Amino acid sequence: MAFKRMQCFLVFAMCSINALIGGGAAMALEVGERAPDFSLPSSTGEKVTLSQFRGKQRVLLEFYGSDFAPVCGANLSARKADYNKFQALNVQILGISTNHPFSQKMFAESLQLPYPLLSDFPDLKVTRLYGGLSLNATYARFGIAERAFFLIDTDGVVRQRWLIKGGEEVIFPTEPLLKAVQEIAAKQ
Amino acid sequence: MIASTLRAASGATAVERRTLSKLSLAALLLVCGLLICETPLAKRDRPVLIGALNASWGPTPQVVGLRDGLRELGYLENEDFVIGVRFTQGDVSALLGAARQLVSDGVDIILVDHEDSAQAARQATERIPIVSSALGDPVEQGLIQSFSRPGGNLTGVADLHLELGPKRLEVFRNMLPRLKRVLFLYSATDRYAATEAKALQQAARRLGVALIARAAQNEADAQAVLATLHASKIDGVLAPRCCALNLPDLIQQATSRSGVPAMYESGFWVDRGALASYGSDLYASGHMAARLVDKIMHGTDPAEIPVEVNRDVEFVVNLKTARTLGLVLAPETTYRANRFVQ
Repeated sequence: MAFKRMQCFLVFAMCSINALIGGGAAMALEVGERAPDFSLPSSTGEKVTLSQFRGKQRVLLEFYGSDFAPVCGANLSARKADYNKFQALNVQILGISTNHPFSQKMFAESLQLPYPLLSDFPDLKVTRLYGGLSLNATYARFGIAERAFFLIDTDGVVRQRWLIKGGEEVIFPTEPLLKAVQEIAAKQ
Repeated sequence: MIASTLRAASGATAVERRTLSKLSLAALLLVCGLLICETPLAKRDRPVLIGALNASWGPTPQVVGLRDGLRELGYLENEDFVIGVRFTQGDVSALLGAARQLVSDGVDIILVDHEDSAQAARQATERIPIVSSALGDPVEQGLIQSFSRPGGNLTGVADLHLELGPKRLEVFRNMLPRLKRVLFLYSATDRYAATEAKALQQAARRLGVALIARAAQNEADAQAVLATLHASKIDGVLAPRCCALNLPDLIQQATSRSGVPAMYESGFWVDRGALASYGSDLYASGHMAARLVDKIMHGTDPAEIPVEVNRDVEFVVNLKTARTLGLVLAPETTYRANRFVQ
């Protein structure tokens, strides 16, 4: 009986935690919306603010689930492989996850990434703001980012987005991202 | 002390007063430094930063075991401790640079597995505590003075890997009674594997098996050796435990292609298609290491923390691979295995 009561309590507690965190799991930003500004600690040790790129560079935000997950490493490495192409198109890549800054720093150094990873820990505000917060039993306490990409132009407007639902096992190719940047560049 | 120094300074000349203030500042900094040093890591107001150093491609089973062990001891991840894995993707020569980077990043504890990362961490720091989750031959390798009193800044869990090497070969031979020529392929930079090769040679003679120990200079060299398994009449491959030159994975791919059975140290590779493994449970080693990390977090000097021994030995067999290779396993094998992969 006591065990059952404990089970009920645990289920209730987990639901409450999910509801509390999930309350902020808003709809993802739409194309054409202004990208909300943020300032987050980065793997380079400095704070990175989105608006610092306004009027200068396009920004590709890559939300990823977790440091040290092989698929996330493969995704970030895919962007690293084509980093020069992004640079040529005046695009700054920013990886974002809900991991601790220390863990991110180790991950970025191990992968030798030429672009910074930003830590949305512990508030998860940016991930929630962009509508990419995912909850599952393992990470219910903190929540992780769904794999998603937001391409932001030099005016700070979202020009394209890719929301990869259930993207834990997906290595998203770089080509569609580059193609979208090229199209935007051609129009401008 | 500082107040009395300042009082004394009121009757001194300007130069003396400046000297005294400098001395007071130095004394203050020293006291603060000592206080910080003597505050156990577990009682600081930020999470303990644990830098896990390895030549792998991310968290090893030991890292996962450490994390779970710390959680079971009541520590909260991201609040009480954070583990950051600094991996070098098969490049053993990059370990020293990575270890130095960990030191400059201000980690509180370094977790290492295997001798290469332990040696690199030891070279990088004599101050930061190092915990190894896989010590094969630590006294001989100069990593510790003795098991009971390591003596330096490194302690850890010994996994009997070297001792189990001959047994691994014997188990392999028992699984495959026709086993005559076994290749042991390792990296030329892997000092520990060279020691292991000698122990395996002795065991091979006793078991009536020819052991071909080959030190690969680079990945291309390793690929060339693995491309000629049939031509060299190799009927079994023993994998090294260190992932230098990506050898465990290269062996896994080559043996799958050529249909030659492979024996590993860890069940990790059996889950990925290797025929069998015999060795310490790496997850358990990491789990045990959590207790040592806990002691360090409470202020115990690693020099005084005895090295523990993981006696949790696993024999894992992949039945699907056995079927693919057309092997009929002896009853002794099925009886002795701890775990089967279907």
